[in-house]
Amino acid sequence: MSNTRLIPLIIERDVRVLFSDAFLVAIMFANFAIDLFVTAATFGRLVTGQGANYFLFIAPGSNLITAMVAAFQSGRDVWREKYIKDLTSYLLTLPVQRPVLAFSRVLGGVVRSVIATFPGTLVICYLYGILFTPKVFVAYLVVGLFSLGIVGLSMAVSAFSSSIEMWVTIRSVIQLYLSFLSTLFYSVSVFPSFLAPIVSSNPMTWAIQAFRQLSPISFAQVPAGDSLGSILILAGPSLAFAMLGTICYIWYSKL
Amino acid sequence: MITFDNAGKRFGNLDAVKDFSITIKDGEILGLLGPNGAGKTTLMLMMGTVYRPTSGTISVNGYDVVKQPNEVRKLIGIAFQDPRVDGILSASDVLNWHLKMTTLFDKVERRRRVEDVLKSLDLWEARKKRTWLMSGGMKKKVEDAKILVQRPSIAVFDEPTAFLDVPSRLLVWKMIRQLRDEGSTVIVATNMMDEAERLSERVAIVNKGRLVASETPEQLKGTVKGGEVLELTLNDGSEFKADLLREFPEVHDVKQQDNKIMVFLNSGTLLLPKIVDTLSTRGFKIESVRLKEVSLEDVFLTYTGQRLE
Repeated sequence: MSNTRLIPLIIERDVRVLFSDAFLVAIMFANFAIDLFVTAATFGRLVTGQGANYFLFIAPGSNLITAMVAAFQSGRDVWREKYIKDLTSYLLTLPVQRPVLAFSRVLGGVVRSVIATFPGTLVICYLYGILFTPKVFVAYLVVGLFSLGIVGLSMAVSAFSSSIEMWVTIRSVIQLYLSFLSTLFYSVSVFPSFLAPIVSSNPMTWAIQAFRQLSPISFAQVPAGDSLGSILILAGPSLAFAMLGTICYIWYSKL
Repeated sequence: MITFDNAGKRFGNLDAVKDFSITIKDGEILGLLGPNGAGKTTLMLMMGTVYRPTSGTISVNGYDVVKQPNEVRKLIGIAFQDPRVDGILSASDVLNWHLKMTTLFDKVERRRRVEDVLKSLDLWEARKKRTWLMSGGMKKKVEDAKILVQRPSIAVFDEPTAFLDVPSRLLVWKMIRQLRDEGSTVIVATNMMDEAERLSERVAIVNKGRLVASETPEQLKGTVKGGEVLELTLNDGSEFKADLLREFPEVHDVKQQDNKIMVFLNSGTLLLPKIVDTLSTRGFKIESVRLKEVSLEDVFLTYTGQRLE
């Protein structure tokens, strides 16, 4: 039995577990749409002087925060599978090689994130005027690549957390770093100089920049150019974290 | 064929399993009988490649569980003691996904198998219910159903009837026997004497991580010397002499209390007519006869010095 045949099945299970309740999915999408609307109404009028509508400036970040939350859910599920539900031992008896199982779990998390942010990405692409261009696929690529790293990171966190409190604390620290030490809300020039390298090495910074560069609207402080360079830079940490998550899952699953 | 050769598993300073050797033949039902914490689950998880043995070797149909774990996993299906199911998913989803992961059946065959087993286990009406909303017994049946739909070469059940009512227990036993009849080798870990006795062709007694004995239930009972007790009540026991019955090699001891004679023996069912005949020819009138056979619990007590239930 080919192990590659099993990869989509493992992803399918992860997706089913998160989206098994149609009502909850509808609520989630509605909630996201409301968030987006309120953010647009508030920031679009409140903050000016960015060279363009401020909402359009932060909208990709808002979307990536949703991706980040969904991605971290994968790590939490993996943690619960071991300590609460003891499903890990069952998964380990299935006829699939450990590395394939582990990487499939990471991919499952990515698919979940992309689905969770699907309407948001679509709305932002519409607002950016790229909905009916090939750039829409690049937008999903950016979300997927960003999620890949965060899912890997969340699985690594799960491996080293002996309690859910520890897991939540580490997650919060990482989320604070990704949200506030990045160019999500403001450009890097606003940060003190000693923080600039940290902000510049933040995957969120590169994911947002790649997204913003898809827009035909020019934002102040966003370097001109296509997204490819930013995507390539984002790919580095994302693949590294995905690898780390895979290795940690294999290590963590050894009962 | 499954072979444990001096297999052991150590957790820190604790030997969960030590020097465990047994060969399980193709197509047999082996009962692993032992108290909680005896090492039964550890044995099964080592065989299922979840745990790596820290000493010795385990091979499944010639595949080493450490060197060829992927080959072993293709052969084995394990139903766990505590149901390992995603609570958010329905019974039908759980079984269907399990089949997709473990077999190459097409959609039609998967649907047929899931329907057959769910109907047999009286779960068909609840097939779309999320498993976390099910009772403990229903969840347990879903866990067993995973292996019953899969029908693996080697089916392992850990306490398959825990939480189940009597009709469900009988049903699960019947389905496990059917699985064996279709060619599977079945291993059942249990701490219930009646389950081990009624289901297993061979019982392996496990205690403190070690194999204590491994025989058919009847052979195990036969190893308890004088384990059966024949109680005879005579009309008048004043003339009775114990040596009269001690001549039988199967008789290990004879005790008398007034008219009541207690004979400690083996093969009581076979010996009973001979004893009755001997006493009758000597003029004793027998008012009542009661034979207490050796139970598996007596066997367990003999081998481990402790009671299981």
